[in-house]
Amino acid sequence: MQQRPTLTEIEINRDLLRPTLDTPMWFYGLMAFLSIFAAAAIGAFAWAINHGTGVYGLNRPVMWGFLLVNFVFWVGISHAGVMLSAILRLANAEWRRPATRAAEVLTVFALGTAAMHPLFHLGRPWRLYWSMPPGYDFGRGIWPDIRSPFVWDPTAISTYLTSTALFVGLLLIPDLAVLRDHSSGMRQRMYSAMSLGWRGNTRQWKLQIIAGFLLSALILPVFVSVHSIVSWDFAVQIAVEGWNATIFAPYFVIGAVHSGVAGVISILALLRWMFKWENYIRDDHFDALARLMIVVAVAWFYFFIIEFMMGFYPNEEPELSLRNLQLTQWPFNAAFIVFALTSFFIPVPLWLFRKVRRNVALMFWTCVLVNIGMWLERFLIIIPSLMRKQVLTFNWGSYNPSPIELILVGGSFAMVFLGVLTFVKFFPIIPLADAKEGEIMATEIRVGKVMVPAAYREE
Amino acid sequence: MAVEHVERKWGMAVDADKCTGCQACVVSCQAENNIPLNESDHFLQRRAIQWIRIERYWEGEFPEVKARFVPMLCQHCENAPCEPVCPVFATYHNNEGLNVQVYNRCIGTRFCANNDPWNVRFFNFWEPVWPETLRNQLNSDVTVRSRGIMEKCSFCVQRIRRTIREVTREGREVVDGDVTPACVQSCPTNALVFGDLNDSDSEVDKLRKGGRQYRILDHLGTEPSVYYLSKVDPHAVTEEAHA
Amino acid sequence: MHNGGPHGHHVDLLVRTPEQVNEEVLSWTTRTSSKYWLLVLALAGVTVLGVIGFIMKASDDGFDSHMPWGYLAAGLAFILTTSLSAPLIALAPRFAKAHWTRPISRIAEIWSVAGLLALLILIPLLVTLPSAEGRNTMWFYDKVAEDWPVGAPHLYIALGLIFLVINGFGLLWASAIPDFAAARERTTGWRKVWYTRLSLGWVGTKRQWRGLRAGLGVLGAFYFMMLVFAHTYVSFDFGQSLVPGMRDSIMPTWQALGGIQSALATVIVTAFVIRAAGGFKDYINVNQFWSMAKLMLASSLLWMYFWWSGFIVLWYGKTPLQQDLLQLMWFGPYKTIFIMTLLLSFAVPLLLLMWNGLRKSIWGPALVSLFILSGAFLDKIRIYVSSYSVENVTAHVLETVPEGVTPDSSDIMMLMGVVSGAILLFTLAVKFIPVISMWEVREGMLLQEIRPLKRLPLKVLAKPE
Repeated sequence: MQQRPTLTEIEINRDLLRPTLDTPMWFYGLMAFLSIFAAAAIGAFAWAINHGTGVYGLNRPVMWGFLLVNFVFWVGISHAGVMLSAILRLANAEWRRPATRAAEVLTVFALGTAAMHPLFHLGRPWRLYWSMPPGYDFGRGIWPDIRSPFVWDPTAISTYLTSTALFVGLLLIPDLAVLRDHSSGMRQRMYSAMSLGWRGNTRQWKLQIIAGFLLSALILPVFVSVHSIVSWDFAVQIAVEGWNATIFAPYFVIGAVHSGVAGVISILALLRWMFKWENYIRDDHFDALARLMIVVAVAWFYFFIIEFMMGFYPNEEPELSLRNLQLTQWPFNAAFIVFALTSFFIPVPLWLFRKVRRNVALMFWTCVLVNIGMWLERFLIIIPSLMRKQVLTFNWGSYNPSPIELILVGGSFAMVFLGVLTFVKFFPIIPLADAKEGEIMATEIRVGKVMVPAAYREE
Repeated sequence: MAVEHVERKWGMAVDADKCTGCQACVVSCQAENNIPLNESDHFLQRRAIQWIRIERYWEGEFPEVKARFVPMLCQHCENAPCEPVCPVFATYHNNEGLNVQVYNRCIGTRFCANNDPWNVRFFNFWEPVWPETLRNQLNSDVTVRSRGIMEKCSFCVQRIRRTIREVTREGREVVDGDVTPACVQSCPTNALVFGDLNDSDSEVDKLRKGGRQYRILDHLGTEPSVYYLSKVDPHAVTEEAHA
Repeated sequence: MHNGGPHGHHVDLLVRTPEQVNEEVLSWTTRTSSKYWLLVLALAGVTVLGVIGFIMKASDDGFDSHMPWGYLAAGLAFILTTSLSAPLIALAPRFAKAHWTRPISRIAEIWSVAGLLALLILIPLLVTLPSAEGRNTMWFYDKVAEDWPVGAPHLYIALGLIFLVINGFGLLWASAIPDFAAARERTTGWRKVWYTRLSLGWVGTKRQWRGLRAGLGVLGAFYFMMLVFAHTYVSFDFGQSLVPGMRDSIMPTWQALGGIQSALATVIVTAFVIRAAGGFKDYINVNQFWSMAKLMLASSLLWMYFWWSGFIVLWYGKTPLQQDLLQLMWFGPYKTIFIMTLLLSFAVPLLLLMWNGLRKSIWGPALVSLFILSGAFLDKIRIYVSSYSVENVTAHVLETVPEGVTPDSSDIMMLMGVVSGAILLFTLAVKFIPVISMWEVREGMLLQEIRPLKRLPLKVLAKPE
């Protein structure tokens, strides 16, 4: 049993506000380094606008490529945020405290980055607004076609992005007030405007807690709908036999949670290393998150098995040739093996050991592996299915990503990290109020001769 | 979407028995519809645009190998799967049974191309260019498409419109044979027959009820307007006779 | 004890000595009243009626075709989704170290005794199930090699269900060992003999406890996997693989999810009854119902989500086969049943359970559970009877949508027999196996207490490693 250090409120303020008020120099170096990649991605997009969609490696029949794979990947990552934060808040789980805001912030930036991908991918990106919810075309008097999943998509994603940003902003208010009291000049004015006159009185806390619960409950259906709709982009297509499966929506959602929680664990490990927050992001937090990961991974694996088996079930040519492609032909067979090992068969057996669950480095690397695997999973669903759409073998094709696509994919990672780091620069990434509450709620129960860690619980 | 009050329903019959795979239809379509030149690069990138193409399938084992030719063009389905997935109504069904592409409206999601089982929708990956010498051969009745949008066979809608205008001026109804798309016009073996499927006197309607007809990927229930007439294989007949 | 603070907080913990817990639970377990035997007699009577129904069915229709047996298949699926799924409610919270599940975990586990009935029902169903040859099957039959794997699907269904039932009994036994040991010390006669045998020399050494916890973890994990697997093959082999051309990959996962929903409902209803019948009002209190009601609300929402996810793909696709499937399964002959299911499994639970006042009560969740159980019952009938009504299982696609099959008197008798048989087995078991997990309750008392924080009395929960 690990002895839990007791922290005073002053210590909590000092430690958790350090990256914001006392930013180390290497932090700016890291941001500059990431900016190079993000700038490269923006340059690549400018190049694509200037030269046309031909700069991507797309062709007929593979009309959707790496950009869509990456889109699904980032939407997936964005799912953990609210899943963790809202479900654990509703369940009043004690170990959610250090993880919630990091998860929500990851959601915001991953989703924002994901939302850029359809833009990168369009033939005429400057017309994207025609497919958006208020995309009324005044010149022609035409509304978007609500039958298309590409209209559902921007609707769901913009709702999710707005509500998550609201969620983050609302839960930040008490911490912003602390920042207001610890800063001066421009920053103080900014924080005091954003903290909306927070004084921490009973009425304000009551409203804050009610709003947090309400938003948690309301945001959950949105969270489920977003990835379901992303899955329907694929699943409603009768022409692509590998996609037209009824299981896609929950399969995508559980896969998103799998990759997303892994993403949150990786971010938490990085934060713990970067800012030496061993007392806040403790080993038992990793332990609890890893237990959650085991459940999620097993559930995801069940969906994967059913979906994969379904390709063999009807004994039809296009699907069998698709499985043949995925399992036996280079480079898909290699991708498949890596996918199976990294997303399930390496990490899950490791997580069964308590020593691994409490080892931050191992947790970080296994979660990175999960995300490598989950990226490949989307790749193996999207691209081989397009290469083997129907029985008409004359039209079977292949696809090679172009350098522009690779730069955009790489740059998207830089953008997400850059976003999270920018947030860390201006706002506390571990909720101060939650950390303090956790300190108050933590206690112990004597059982025989030992003291067992315990927590007060409000109902 | 079901369209009420259908007067005409344009359709085509493709006689696989008569097709020699000569590609005349492909070339005439290219010329008629201002399709950019397909150079070897385009084929190697698998981005060549051919509103009608000859799909070639090999049948049998060496040395008894036979080439089968399937002219493939937009099937102008009644329940076209490409239509509902377009977020901006850039493709829709008109009341003459045509699956229509609105170039100005298209934003290039390529969703329709994915949900098209026959792969007969084409994306303009590049801005189309013609050599200076060919500038004057462009058909002034057909829009030159820009990059970033989809295009596909229109059953030579410009010819349909022109014919209707002309016969109206002559004060009569359109009869079978009045409208001829470029591919049909140029087919040396008359393997392609075009006409109104709602007109019971038309040749295409007779052919599609003639007994040899089938539709490609019919099990998807999209109700294609292009009917194929199966090959009459002399070997198959003799084998049957022997048996 | 602070029962209810100045702020009206509802915190109630069990206040007993460990000795009292043993005494109260065991005295109810070992005492049988005449009312109890009357109930057993009535249940046995209905079960016998089910056997008569089975004999009638067998003599009328025989075992040549699978088609007359649709309602019995629905009965098997109902047992699977209720009784056999119920132990999940003991397993998942144990994994999450939740305390609220302690008083009801045994109730959930005892339901696994109904597995015996499932095995009996399986026999005629396996006899009549068509061979895998020439039709779709999830067992890779004829796909990798000719006539391989041998015995698919019959052998594997039988093995799978036998393992599931054995595993359930193992789980029940393992978790009851410390309680059997306690009972051994407090009983006489044949009971003492059996409790001694079953407690396997348990004296509660540190090593034995460690072994028990590890064993419960392994058995629980296996049970969970075997159960999900059972939902998968039952919904494939007795459901969609009998419908040519049907491809509905969400079906097994949807059925597994329905299993969680019905398992909660089963445990809530049984806990309600046991609480009233056994006078366990202090043991099983509103906390248990409240926690399960929250999960039940979530599972009802997910139930609808899974159904909608499958439906939208079939409906949007609009191919003739997909439209026929929608007709067969949902909007054709079984439309009324389907709409009833939608109401009972989703709409009514949502509309009722969305109110916290109702969730946080004893009767509310119990009432909703009855709706959910009837919804699950109708749902199984819709799925399995419609699948069984297709005549040509080896066709390439569904050629015509068959007519609806109305139950005849033997079907109704069999279904009544299935339900009462499961309840009978449970009723018999609770008078032998302590119905409240005494050791878990005693442990829970050590790890929970009411303590004031500032001036407010709050519950304190300990989470041991």
